[in-house]
Amino acid sequence: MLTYIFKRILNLIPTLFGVTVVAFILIRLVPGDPVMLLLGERGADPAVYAEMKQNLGLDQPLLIQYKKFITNALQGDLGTSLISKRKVSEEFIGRFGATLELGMAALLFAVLLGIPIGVIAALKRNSLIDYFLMGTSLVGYSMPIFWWGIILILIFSVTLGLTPVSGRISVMFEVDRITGFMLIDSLFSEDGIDAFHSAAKSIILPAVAMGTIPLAVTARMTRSSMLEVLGQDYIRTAKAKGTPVLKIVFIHALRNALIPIITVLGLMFGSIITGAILTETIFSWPGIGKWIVASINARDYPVIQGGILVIATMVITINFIVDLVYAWANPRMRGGLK
Amino acid sequence: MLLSVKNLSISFETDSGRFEAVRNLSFQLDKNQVLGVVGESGCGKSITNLALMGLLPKEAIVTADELVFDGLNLLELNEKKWSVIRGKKIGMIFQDPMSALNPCFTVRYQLEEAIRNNHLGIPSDQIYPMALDLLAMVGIPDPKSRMECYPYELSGGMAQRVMIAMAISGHPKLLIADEPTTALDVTIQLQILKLLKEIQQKNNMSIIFVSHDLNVISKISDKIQVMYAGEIIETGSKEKIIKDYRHPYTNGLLHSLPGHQLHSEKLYSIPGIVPDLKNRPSGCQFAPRCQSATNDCHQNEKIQITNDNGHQWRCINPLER
Amino acid sequence: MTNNIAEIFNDLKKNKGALIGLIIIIFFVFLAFFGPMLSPFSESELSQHLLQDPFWGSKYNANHLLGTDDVGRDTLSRLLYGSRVSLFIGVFVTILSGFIGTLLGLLAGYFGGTVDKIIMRMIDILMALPSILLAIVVVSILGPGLVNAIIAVAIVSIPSFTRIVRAGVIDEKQKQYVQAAKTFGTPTTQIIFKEILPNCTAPLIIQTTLCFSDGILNAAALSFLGLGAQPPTAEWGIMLSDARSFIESSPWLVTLPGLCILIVVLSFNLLGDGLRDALDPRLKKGK
Repeated sequence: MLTYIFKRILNLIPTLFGVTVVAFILIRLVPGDPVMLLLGERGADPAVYAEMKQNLGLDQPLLIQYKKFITNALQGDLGTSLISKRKVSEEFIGRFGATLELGMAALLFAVLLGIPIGVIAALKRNSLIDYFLMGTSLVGYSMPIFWWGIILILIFSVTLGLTPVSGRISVMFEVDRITGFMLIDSLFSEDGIDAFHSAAKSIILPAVAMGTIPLAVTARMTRSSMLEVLGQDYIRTAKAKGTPVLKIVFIHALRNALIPIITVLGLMFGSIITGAILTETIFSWPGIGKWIVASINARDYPVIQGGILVIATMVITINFIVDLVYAWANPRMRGGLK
Repeated sequence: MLLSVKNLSISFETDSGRFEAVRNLSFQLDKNQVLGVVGESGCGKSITNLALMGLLPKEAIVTADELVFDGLNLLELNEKKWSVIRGKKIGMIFQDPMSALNPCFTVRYQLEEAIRNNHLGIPSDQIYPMALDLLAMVGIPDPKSRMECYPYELSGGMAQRVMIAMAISGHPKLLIADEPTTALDVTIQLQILKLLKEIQQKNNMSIIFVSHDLNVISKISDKIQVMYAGEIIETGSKEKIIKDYRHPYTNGLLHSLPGHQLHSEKLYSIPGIVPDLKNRPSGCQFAPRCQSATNDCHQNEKIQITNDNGHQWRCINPLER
Repeated sequence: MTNNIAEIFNDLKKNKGALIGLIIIIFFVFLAFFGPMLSPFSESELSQHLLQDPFWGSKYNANHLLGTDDVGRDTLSRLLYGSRVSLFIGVFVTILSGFIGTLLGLLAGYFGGTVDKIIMRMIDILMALPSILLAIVVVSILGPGLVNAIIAVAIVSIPSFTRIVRAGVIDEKQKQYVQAAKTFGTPTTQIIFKEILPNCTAPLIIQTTLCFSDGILNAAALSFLGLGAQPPTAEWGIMLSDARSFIESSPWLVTLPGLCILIVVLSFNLLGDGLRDALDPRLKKGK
């Protein structure tokens, strides 16, 4: 098992290296001079300009610049934001909790609803229930979530007044940052349960908007995976030995059907980030997605560069973890790893 | 009598029309008897077995004048009542033991589950010893360590033994073995046949043993039933079928076995192919492939069954003895 | 081959979802071609009637069937013009990414070895970046605009084509007819394009349909973020983001363009699903 993990990690290195090159080069492809941008519109005194360029290391050859970039990145230093003048890594960590919390809520929504929907559709295959569930899933799968978020706001916030339009919690509450998860931190605030209530209300709509496509994917995948498994010989065996139907479905079949679903869930992480970019923009959710869009609009290059690097590294790492979970969930693979 | 089947027909509705996979099947099985069912693939033998377990897909249409097992009318059972039969009264093993075991669970889990299903309310501390006994009974060496194996860690023969242990865990009165040796090596085949015979005698169990291989069938059966295109065309004691067969198809099956060819002929194979069940020929179903077929064979829709002391055949021009 | 297409079409006819999808797509293409002729106003024509409701609303002006926006432009006309932009986006994204992706897949699959490693490593890197993020970065380099958005979305769509074609080629390459062609000394390009590529058609057709819907969706998202097509172009994503401020007073102004995107994307996905059902058993049978 250890050698397998080690081999897989070795395999990751070229891809990670490629990502750093891409992040490094992309930013240097951007038209315009970052030094000029940094100095702003005041116009630049050539001496100040030269000094600035030297400070940023931009007067060095590309290779040296890249080496510096990598060395710093490995030490967790991703540079300084041009706008806020704060360390990119600090800003990132400050916003990561918001995105992670939203992403987890969305994924939970997708999995808790998607797997039962898929199982029911598979069991009732080619019935009206199946057509309805799968039709709805396809609509969800095709959903422009930037529109879906607005429609949710229109219905639940504007018309019904049930949920707030934006933000993580009502401005009435003061919550100290402990874990970065508003749902947890709010419980430790002065207002305790009231603040939690407000935070919970705030996260519902964005989580639903962000979770819709993953929900549709999970439901569709679960259905097809279940259908395949239900046709297998070992299901017939389970029936022949008198196993109750519920046990056949939820233990014998689902356990096997989950193996491909795990992979799909892992691959969905990328689309969760995509979802975060759009959802956070719509709901003014102070997470990484909104931050990166704002940075791109403001041409805050160190942030964009650091953001790409961190997100890509996360996607690669998650895919790697998913591979391990997949191997672990599959006895045959697990045995092969011993 | 343990099982009585009268005029069992099973048909399927498909896009290209309805077809009868099994038609007018009648046979009986006594307690303690081993019935061998032989025929080419698609002759309806497996479908008949699935019907006895209530495991046919929903699309299947089953009709019969009588389908009684151990005093229970199988035609009237709903899904809930079937659970009284499956595992407890009828056990079943399949062709490919590797795919018949759930790849995600250990032998122990699957065997203990079978025991729990078949002995409702059994104290939990008795389950594991019982599972060990079963594994020992089916001849698995070192049952304790095998218990923790996943199916992929077993050989085919070992997996089939585990399947047998699961199938007999509820002391069923009937074991249906659907091509249980086909996927195994020849030497393992013999071991499994021997094991089945042993268990059958020890447990006073009946067996329906299905195979396309008459050679294998003759090693274990008391009575043999030859099926063709969803019908029984000859049935009788093992000796009668092997030595005193009357139907040309049985003749063909026997002579297509290695070692049974006449003189130094090449290995015989029956000419032609199994009829398309969606488009059945008229008259005797075997007539298009039969060398002694007459006009009557092709036209007669009501070919009578000849009965000679329990040896029955359905043929107008049987082989003369 | 023609026989094959007829068979696929027969299977499709049986699949109601796919049929509905196909009909909507045909209707959508029709609107894209003739919409501007049918529309009562031009996409940028201003009227004095601002923020009118559609005909089922209370503030309805008979001249504007689906109402007007905040500067008095006719919503119906803009939606019709928008269909043209969306079709344009879909077609070019698919052609661009399909061409490059297929070519890379063919090279990687056929030559294997180092070529394969380099190409697939590039694809891995592309896949490590979430699609919208990558598109946003590309647009921020190239500058916002419809054409640049198309290029960005096309780049994002390349990996799926490459992976599908590569898998197909690796499968096909080992088959005897390809080995035979090699021993006869058939030129490599001919083997790739005449022998191997035609056998990857089925998955490619499915991928093309999906690429179309993804492309339209991603490009609309970019426009929504202000990075795609620029105002005053009548593009559904822009209409949507423009209308956000009037969500309370004119909810239909936000609803309609999004609904158009949803319906078009859904119809392509319906067709894609139908094609998969129709082609998959064939694919399996072939193996």
